[in-house]
Amino acid sequence: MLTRAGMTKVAVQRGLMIAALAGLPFLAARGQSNNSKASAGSKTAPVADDVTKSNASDVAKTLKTAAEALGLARWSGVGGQRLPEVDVINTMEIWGSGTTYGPSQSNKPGELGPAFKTEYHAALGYNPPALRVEMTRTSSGAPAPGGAAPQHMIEVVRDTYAWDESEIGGGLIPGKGTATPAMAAVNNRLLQLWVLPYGVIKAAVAAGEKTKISTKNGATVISFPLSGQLAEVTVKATLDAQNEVAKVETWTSNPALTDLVTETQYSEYADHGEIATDVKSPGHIVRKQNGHPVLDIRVKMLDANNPYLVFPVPENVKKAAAH
Amino acid sequence: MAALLCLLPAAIFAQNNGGPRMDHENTLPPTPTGPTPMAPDGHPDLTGLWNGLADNLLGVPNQMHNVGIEVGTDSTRDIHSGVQIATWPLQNRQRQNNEQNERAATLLRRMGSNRPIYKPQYWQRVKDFDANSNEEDPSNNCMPAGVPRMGVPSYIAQTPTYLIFVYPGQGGLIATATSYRMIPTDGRKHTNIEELDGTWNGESIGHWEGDTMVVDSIGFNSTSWFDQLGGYFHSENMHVIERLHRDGNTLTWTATVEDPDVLLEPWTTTPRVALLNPDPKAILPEALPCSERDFAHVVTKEHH
Amino acid sequence: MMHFKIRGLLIGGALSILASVLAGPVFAHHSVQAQFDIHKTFTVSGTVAKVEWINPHSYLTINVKDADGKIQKWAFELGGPGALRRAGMSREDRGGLKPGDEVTASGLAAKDGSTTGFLQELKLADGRVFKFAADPNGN
Repeated sequence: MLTRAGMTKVAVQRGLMIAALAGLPFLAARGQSNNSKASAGSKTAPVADDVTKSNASDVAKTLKTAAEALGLARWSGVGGQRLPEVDVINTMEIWGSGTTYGPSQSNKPGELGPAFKTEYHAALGYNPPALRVEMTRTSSGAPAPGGAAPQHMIEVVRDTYAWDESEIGGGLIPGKGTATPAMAAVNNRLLQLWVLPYGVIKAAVAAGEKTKISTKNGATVISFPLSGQLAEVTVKATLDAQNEVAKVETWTSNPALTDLVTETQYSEYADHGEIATDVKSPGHIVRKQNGHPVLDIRVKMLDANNPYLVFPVPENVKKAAAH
Repeated sequence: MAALLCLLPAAIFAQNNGGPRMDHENTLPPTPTGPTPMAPDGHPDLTGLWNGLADNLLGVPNQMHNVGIEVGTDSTRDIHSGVQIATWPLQNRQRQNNEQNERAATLLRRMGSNRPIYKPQYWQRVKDFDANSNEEDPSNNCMPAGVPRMGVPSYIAQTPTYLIFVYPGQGGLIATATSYRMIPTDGRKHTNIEELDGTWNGESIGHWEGDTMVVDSIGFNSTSWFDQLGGYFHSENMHVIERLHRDGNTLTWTATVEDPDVLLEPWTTTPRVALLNPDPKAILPEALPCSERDFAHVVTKEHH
Repeated sequence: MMHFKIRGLLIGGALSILASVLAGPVFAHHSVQAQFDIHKTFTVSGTVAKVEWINPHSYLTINVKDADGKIQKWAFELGGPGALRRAGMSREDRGGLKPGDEVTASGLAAKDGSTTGFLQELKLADGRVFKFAADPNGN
């Protein structure tokens, strides 16, 4: 039985992890659609759930169980037996394929935009918070006149900077690719880190007493607000019977931030690494944004061994952000 | 079946070269106590057996300390980024077997935020070296770890004109042969780099900056890696600046690696704080000779 | 005479207090699991060929007669003298690891099928048994 003294105590440094909370660029559009009219779906609050009555002890226990299901809470007896478990997840690399969708032509909820066959490759980290999504997409619809070349995009976010690269690491060395600032996309891109199962646990722990546990249709639901740049976003994560994060919904009361209203479903959890790490990752990821499907990806491989992934910010991006 | 003859309390580490116990309950640096001995020339005297925490490269707690993860009793902090990391109480720790121990160790040694920033054209190479480290680690086959990978020397002898650093060979994270360095502090300058053929430890010269001993090294081969793990290769033009500062019975060591051929910017290790061996009569034990037999039999890519 | 049995261990996990204090290769500079199957143990009996106190792992090599009477060399990784001493082996006991002495060794099996193992238990000629590691499943 967890006592108060035994509970997780995490004091979050606001300037860091918090500043990282924003949206992810799984969109076909480059994250600029927040000036589109808000659809009816985004204006309503989430349906009221069963009463969220949970004390800090319930919350701590639930988060630990969910952390263990992911392989995020870890310790090692190699050369020592007396350290506690810690959150061991920092960097990850994901390879997958499937479909992404552009913005739909109308605002009817659920309507599909144009579909793209997509090769998906993401490199991410939580310390510092950063994400580099590389996608190669070909149109699934009627071929464009003359045959369109596949689209290749690299969309990056790191802390409060966002930019697009012409090649991986472009813009860092003169003559080797370019980096185009994309500051308006920071929140969209960052949010993707915090709706991943690992980000959910990290942010739920960081939210401290603001995190609540409830049940809905027998499933455990974890609710908490994000903070810093994404302070207007609340997250609701539903666990499956194995305590894995099965669904993550984000919502905001700010009508201007419709792109931060998302729903992602995760399933087929397994250790998808070439080298076994005991970190579980979803094999299938399906995401909606502002009510419209945007992504349906099957994971081919996932390196969760804290691989060497870095996200230095190019000078021209820093300068653009300063203005 | 005969009765189980248990090992001594789990704290004692089998091959710690006779040093003190390693089973730390946190990864916080030791607090200095006692006066700092001074040499006749007015500088701090770094002489001592600096293995009070057992080896600075052995054991997951030391290895986490080395990448800047400060684990307390119920909270954990990355000292470079300031990020707080979720921590769960020891008494509720989940059970696991040796495979799980090892997989967790591989992750725990790499979770810190302080990583050298290579040029983008080398990012994949670093990743590949790390993932394939069973084959690629140059310290395999009992080769030297080199400077600065060896970290803090287990023994320092200080004379007015040179320092002797001794690093006993280990059978652990990076199985290595015993190494030593003789570092002149007589004010001489480096040999012209063109005349240096490149070695594992480089050519080192030391000088005092206030109470800090600064050791400057050039003339490396390009074979070694420069941190405890991670596939961090370098060029022959690597330049290493180590700083050693004694405070009572603690010795703080950092190394800055400059290598504009492969890095976007210089990189500095997390400070490592070594503790003086608390036994005033302790001497440096003989390290076992190194002979590698395992790699012919390694089947998968799980690595340290 | 060689007896050679492999038994899988299906014991559920208890907190592996001793799991990290294996006799030596706790900090295997590669992973133990990359080389040995922690779920598969085996036992051989034979005579000591040699003991080598080296890094990263010391080795006990045992000459084992197979069914045809031919000698096979089985090499077991083990901890250094300090580890054996802490397991209760006296200096005299370790003297019983000299060439020609009879021992029975149990250990984790090599994944590549070679005649190597990761030593867990050693029985001397007088019947005394020394254990060097917890059950790989944590007991």
